Amino acid sequence: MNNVLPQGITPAVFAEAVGELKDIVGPQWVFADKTHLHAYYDYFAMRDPALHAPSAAVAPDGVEEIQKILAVARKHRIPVWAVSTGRNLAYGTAAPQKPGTIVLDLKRMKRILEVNEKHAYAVVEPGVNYFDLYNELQRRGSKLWIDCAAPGWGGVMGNLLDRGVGYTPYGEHFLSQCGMQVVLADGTVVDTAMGSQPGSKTAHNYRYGRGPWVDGMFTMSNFGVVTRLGIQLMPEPPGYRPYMITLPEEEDIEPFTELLQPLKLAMVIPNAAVTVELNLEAAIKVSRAQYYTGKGPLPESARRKMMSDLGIGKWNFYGALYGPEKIMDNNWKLIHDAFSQIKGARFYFEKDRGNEPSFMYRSKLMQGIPNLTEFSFLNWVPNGAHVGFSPMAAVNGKTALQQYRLVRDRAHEYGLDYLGEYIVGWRDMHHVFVPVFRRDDEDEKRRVYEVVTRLIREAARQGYGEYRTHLDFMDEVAGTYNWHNGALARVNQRIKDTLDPYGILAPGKSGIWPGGGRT
Amino acid sequence: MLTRRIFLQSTALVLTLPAGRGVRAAIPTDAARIRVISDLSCSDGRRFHRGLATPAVRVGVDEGAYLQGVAADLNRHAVDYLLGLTQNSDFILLRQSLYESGFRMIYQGQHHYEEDVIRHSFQADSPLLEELTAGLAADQRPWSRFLAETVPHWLQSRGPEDDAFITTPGRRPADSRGFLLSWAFARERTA
Repeated sequence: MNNVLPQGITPAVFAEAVGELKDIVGPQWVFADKTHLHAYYDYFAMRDPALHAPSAAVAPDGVEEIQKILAVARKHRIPVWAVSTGRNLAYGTAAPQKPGTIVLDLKRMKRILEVNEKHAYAVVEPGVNYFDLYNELQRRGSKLWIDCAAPGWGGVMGNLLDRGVGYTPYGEHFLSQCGMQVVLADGTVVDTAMGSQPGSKTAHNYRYGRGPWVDGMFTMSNFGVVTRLGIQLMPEPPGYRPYMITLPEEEDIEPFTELLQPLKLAMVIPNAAVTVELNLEAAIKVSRAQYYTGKGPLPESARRKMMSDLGIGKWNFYGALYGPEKIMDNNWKLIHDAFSQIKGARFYFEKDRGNEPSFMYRSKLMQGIPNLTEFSFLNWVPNGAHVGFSPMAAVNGKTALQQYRLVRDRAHEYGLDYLGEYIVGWRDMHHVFVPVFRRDDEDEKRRVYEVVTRLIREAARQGYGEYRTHLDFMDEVAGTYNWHNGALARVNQRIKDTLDPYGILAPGKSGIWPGGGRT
Repeated sequence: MLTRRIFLQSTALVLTLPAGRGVRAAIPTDAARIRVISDLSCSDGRRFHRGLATPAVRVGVDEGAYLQGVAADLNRHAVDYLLGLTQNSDFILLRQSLYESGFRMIYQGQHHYEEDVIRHSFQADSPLLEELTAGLAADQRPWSRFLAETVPHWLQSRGPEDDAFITTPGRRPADSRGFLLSWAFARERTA
């Protein structure tokens, strides 16, 4: 057996609970020994992985088994942490917030329950990943596109519930959500919105139903276990043309973003496009050691050399045109005219860079083809891992430059390279800073932990909050959403304590703890 | 039962054990199903690949395409051992998938270029560690070529029980990012 136990649970009680779980799902689907729990540890941990060590994992294959598992959890007061595929390496993988929690691994539930070609949606279970859904659509000869996160092995549901983003015009994933089934802590099964009407014919066409719309409450929360999800899909457009624009100077992010904002809002650039900083762009193809072997951030001379060698900019924008040829031609003229105002801006299409790894994988993402190429940036340093610091920003030039400078300067202060990008929505940008660190360098991991902690606080003082965070920072980030004496946190607490009085669902998720305490 | 050779039934590949090493444990029988992965984007990976005397699978730019194949094999229980010499990013993806499928790591090596040397650090059982460090110290060939010949012995390692380190002379090839991982996983359970 693993030597980690849930808080306050004796080995005998734990063994009894594990036995009961085996009776429910079969012994082969309960993992309680060290070897098999490797997959549920945070492989990219900055601190001691024991801080988020699970005591066991259990993999059910349906709602009834989940209900029975929750009954065991209630009986013994043992918390469970639900994951769909548990593969977001930057935010904690499948590891729970509180050590000793049992991971409720839903990846066996990977049925695609429905694909509706006419109304362009699918209904999936938690274990369905982007490859699964894409492959199924291909197999059917479907004319529907998915929208996937950069790591194509991620869960369709898990990413959406964590309010992740992709890169097609359907990049804001939660906007595509339509209908959920949720199991509450007491075992109650709830279908939301139109699905709450027996025999509903519109459960995945109209997302709101009647009365309060509660679906959002089950995203990034610990109020229930989502077991089914409707996801609306994008019809394949008549044409697709990916492009890249490079900018030569760091300061170019300001005028570029200003020019970008009206084009995004008017949907001339319809997709969730990205503006990628030099180091992250380069890291897909080269390592830091190929340009600099000293300590501290990469010097400007090395960065210039990298730009020259790879033919990339200080910023590198990826967008795509969608639609009939004439519309794409017209939109491209608007885009080209706008960004040509920036001195040194260069424009590329597939014919120019189609063999470049970055262009290839970005091009796939912007048409919803899952892949895993982005992980290459982990080769920036030996034995590389990363974490995400992800403040939101308005699509505003001054904001983009200000946030970039804040994060870059702090990264440099802590001896780290800035690797990051802005993912551009209609009115918002997800600024994602991904410090890459050596897993075998304790000092570097400490510095990453410290700089992210500091950035969360500094960003909050400037009015910026993170949209998502790693396990280690969930309390810290939640603490910054504290207006009016933490009014929102108190609402969350009341919901938590009402729906889950025994505190068995994911204690600590998003900074929400049973009874309001961290114990 | 095979002793000095492993017959790779699934791909009809043959790995020959290097001369001079006794067989110290039962090598997987002819039912063993093995996948070898090498990174052909750098010269070290290509040397490793050639040294295998087997058409190992190459990981390309889009690891996703390959990983789907691995996942299918794992689901069909068609693989008992997976091993390779790859970039860290490939290793991370495979490691997670393999752990989820009930595999355990039995060997890992890190190969890191620093200035004029290559620092090798290994995790395996003692006999394999001894073989690797002694062999690298004595062998005049490029390290990845030597490593390729030890591949059949990786499969015999009981697990990452101990560590060993050795530094060998060498400069980072122009086509290398300066860091590679060699590794082997064995199926532990049916999942």
